[in-house]
Amino acid sequence: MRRISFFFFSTLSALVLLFSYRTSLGDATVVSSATSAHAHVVSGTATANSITPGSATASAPIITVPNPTSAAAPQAAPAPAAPAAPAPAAPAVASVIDGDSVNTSYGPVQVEITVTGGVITAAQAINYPNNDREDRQINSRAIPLLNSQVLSAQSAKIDGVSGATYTSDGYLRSLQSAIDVAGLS
Amino acid sequence: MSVRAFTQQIMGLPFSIHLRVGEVRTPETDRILEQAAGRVWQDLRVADQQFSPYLPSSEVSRINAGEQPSTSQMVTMLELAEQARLRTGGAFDVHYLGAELEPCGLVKGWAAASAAAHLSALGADFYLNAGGDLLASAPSGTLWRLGIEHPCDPGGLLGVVSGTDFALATSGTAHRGNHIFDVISGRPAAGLLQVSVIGPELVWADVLATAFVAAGHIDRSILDDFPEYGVLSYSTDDRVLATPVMRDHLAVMATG
Repeated sequence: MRRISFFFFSTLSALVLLFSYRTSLGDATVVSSATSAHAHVVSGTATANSITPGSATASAPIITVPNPTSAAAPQAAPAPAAPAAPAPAAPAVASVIDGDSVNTSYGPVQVEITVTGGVITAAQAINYPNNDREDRQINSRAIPLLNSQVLSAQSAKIDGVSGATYTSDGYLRSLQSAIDVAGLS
Repeated sequence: MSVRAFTQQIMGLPFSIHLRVGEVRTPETDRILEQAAGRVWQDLRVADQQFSPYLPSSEVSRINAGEQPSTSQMVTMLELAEQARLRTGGAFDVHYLGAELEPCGLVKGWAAASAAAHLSALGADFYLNAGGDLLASAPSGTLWRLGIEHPCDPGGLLGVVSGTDFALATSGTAHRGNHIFDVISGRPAAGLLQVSVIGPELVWADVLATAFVAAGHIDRSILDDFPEYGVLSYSTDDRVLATPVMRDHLAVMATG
């Protein structure tokens, strides 16, 4: 009996973990540090307004929480049911969010993003290192933009989707597959 | 305008074609579109039969068995592969662990871009999605809006890019686990979970995306050699980077 309840508890905590990962995706703060690569969990308030309900997601590194749709993942967590319900309609109000200052290997960077209708419409660095010429070169190349924000595909009015190479199995659950079906006749 | 789509499984990958066509459908326009799509699939199947390392009769399999390249297409592909290896500092290599020839990653984009000529010939707006890598063309000037899948949530997007004539390739570990290997250590690549590259040519967008995932970072010295290409990367510690060319393509969302 003891063993059974222990098993139940570990299953429960795995589920809780899965859910806490998912809700953390909605948070709009910039991830705080690059040093905690494998043990990283996004912190902050969980405002999951742009999350597709029922979708199995994880903002943690793929190594610790394998993508449930990946056929090759050796230790895939049990996936909740496939997304069926559409995402809630996102309000088309633009909101500007200032991220926390992030310590990158180039120096501290702070980014401001504008979200309209659940989609990032603008992003700019409002504070970034410009101490020397090398830093300016880096800035002209790349700046950190945002954290693991998920955009709702329903509000994005897209014609197609690019993704890491699909298997035929992954394709059947992909957004591209849904768009393809709409154009077949 | 409406969109006609065609899909096919080739090289073990899903391909789709989307064409913007007039609202009025006639048997004649249907026949023309179907014929063009059929020619694309045919070219891709021919490329697969020649370059697949999984078919014992393919030229690649024969090369791996010790034969010399015997066709001009193979020589062209190997030259392109060598260019890709050199221009990525060795991060992109069609030789697995420096030995066996496994050119799928190069052939897919190269063959798709070549086959897309059948679609260009129609004069209509189209995009071709080759297993997640897209080539888009819009002579009409109407933008194609293409989403980039979120690496942690295939049902959601990381961003949306738009343009009239461009290629967009994404590499990563989301759909197949770690299928990209560090060519030096032979271990699965770490550091970047997903990389998308936008630019004029599909094959180079694909090569760069694969190379950066394999290297685990966006290598500036490599990117400097490709001024028309932009990168959106997502790291294993959930950080997103966009280079200026990519930012120029990130779509502005209409309100409402």
